[in-house]
Amino acid sequence: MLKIIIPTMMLILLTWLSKPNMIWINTTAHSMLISLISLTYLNQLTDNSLNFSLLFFADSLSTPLLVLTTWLLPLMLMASQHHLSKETLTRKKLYITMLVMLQLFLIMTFTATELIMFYILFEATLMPTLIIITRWGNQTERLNAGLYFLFYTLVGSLPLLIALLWLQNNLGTLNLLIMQYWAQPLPNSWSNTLLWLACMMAFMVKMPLYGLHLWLPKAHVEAPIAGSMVLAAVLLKLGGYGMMRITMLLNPLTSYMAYPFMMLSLWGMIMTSSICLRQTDLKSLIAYSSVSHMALVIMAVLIQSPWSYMGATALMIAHGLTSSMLFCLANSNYERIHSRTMILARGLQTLLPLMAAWWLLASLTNLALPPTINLVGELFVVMASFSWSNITIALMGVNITITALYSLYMLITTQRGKCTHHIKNIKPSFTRENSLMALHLLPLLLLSLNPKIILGYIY
Amino acid sequence: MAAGLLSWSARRLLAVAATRGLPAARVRWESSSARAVIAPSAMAGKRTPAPTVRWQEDPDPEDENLYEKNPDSHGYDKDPVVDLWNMRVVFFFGFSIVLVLGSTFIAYLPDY
Repeated sequence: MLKIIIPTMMLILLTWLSKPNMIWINTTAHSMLISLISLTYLNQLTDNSLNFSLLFFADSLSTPLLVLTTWLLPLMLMASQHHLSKETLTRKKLYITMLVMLQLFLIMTFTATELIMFYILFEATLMPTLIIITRWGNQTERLNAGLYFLFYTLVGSLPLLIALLWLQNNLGTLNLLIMQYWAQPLPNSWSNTLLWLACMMAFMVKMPLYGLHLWLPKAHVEAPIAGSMVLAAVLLKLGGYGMMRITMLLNPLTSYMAYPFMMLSLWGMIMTSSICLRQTDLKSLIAYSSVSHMALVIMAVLIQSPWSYMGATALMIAHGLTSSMLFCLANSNYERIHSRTMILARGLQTLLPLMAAWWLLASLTNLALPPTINLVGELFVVMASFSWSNITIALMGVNITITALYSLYMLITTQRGKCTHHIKNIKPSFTRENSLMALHLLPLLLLSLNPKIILGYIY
Repeated sequence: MAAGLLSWSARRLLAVAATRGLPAARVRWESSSARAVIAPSAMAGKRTPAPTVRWQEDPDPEDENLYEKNPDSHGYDKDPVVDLWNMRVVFFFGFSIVLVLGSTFIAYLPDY
């Protein structure tokens, strides 16, 4: 694991010591090499995880998320190059340092063995993200967005700290590898109910669950492009990953404690999908779409069946790549027209046909078109929830339909129809933007050829 | 708002036509719902000549057209050499190294 942690730390040094015209080239190239190294961890053992040390391990659940995290850094750097071009050199280096620090904390979070270390790094990821949102966001609402983001997550996760300390005292260890074999069934009592809530609420806020999702549209919309990318692609998955790890300690309470959250997820996915149909702000639409997709993951994790776990893992990776790509596309619009309002830039297909192709493919993956892994994930989750309770198929079916509706609505509004008269002079797409979209989409399409690497440890 | 925009663009057209010496039609385009109708003949002398080259209707003064100085810009940097090398680095490391070698590695992983 040090093979990627130390190079990531050294990226910070690379940023500060590079020549001014080489910072982007150096950091992009080296971060791509780090992601290449992380691919080697996909060579998983059959019966156990890759155990590197007492501190770090990589199993079939954390490795795809790790690869996604390391792959996202070069993409974030490419996406940020334009809007940072006017900043001073120190500010650019600070921004890259924030991104690299976030990457470092995320790598260590996904591979942590100890739950306390996981918790500390989970909280630590908040700081660079907050700095990125509040310092480099574009509108004045970014301060409010930063506050919502920080305090929602903190208030949700402080009970988790107390719960983890109690568990450490009780069980003697919080090492995930030991706990797989040592977890005792939790007897039914009020304090154990509170323990369940304390453990899960942090991740429910992070996912986010429908009632606790108010921070997400604000944070996603106000963040600069790299902030939106990492929030949507990786930080939400921290919640899913944490839930999948902590539920091994919380049985058999989960079978009845999970009901209110499953109801909230089922209703919430329809609500947030419907809100997407009424959005005028493009980034806000993509943010609410993230809430809807993550509600599926919450359902899957709470059902706790083999199919649902496979679906949850696949959906997390698929959604990470898809929503990051959608944010990049929205940003390419924003950089040209300086507005996030969808109807201001219509009929872009005639002006930017290649970008329209990326829009089409991103929208198709967002609506879970076969044979992409988005479909694999959603289908597994729908099947698992049907077997858990037949009635959920109605709500899931409505959600899938509305997802298709708003994805196509977004595509048609921005790409089809007559061009608005004031955008006729927008600049053609840059190679940077096209390669950014390709680098998002190609892994997604390649994974549809070999989805077993992202189906998690149940496969 | 649309009417105001129309009247503004109409007045700009007249101004451009005036500076270019083309015969400008002295018609009153402005609707009465917009600002007060001003006969073009009264305004012609007072108007400053509009700049002849303008890319956008409402250009953001901070907006820089990377294609202006470097028509082969790839969107990375203003300096053409750095821009070109950045593009090459992204393609080489991103596509040729990571995607190609990475997917070959994954394709040859043993079935576990």
